Amino acid sequence: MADPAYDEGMAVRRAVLGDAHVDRAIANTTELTAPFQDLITRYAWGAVWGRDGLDRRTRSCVTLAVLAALRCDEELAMHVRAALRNGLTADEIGEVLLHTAIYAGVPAANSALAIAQRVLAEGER
Amino acid sequence: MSAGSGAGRGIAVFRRIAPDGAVPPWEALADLAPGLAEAAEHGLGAVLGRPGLDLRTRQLATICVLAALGGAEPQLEFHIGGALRAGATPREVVEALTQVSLYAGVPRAINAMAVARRVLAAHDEEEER
Repeated sequence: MADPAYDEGMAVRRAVLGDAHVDRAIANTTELTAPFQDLITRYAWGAVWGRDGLDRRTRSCVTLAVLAALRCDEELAMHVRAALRNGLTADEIGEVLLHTAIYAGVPAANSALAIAQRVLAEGER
Repeated sequence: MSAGSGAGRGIAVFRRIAPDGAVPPWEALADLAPGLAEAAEHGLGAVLGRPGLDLRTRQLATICVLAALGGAEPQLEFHIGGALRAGATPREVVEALTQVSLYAGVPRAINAMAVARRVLAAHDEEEER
């Protein structure tokens, strides 16, 4: 059955997170998590990330800053990888996280930079 | 002082994002809290003044962090104006704050949008004059 809202969200999700990540998430979906998987595909990736009016690089920047500020460590690691896919350089990711120190406090930026350092090192291997 | 090149740049960054005639926070704080005044000036100069990320993107990141954390509405108001002065469009401000709903929840984004509505209305009036 055609489901354009889901398909559009999934296309953005795959473009930003990569097929390997999304295929893994789909493979790990259970009865418990299926409604959530459906929600993030339609809402997060379709209704918000898929919008015009703000380029994806900038969406990545503000997302990294918010996740660092809120100490969402696992999501931050995922979005460091996403930011690279959206065209940010490692230096730009570092700048965003340094910037966050001023508004969300030094500990938040310190944790975020440690996570970014680990993720970026994985990419170099 | 040990603040290095950063503190001197604080005023230059402030002028790019503040409305005409605004008093920098470090001047307002100097009598009561000189340490905090210095931290604010240093933060603005040493971090916002760095190359490597344009001021528009920095301002959009700032308003999203302030929106996500909540409780910083006066600063959010100032920095939304700053984002516009740094070259962000009203649409980009609204889109960036919409993005906050995903990560900090819808209520924080709604509260931020109320602040944005005020700032954007004042911005429109300024444009019309």
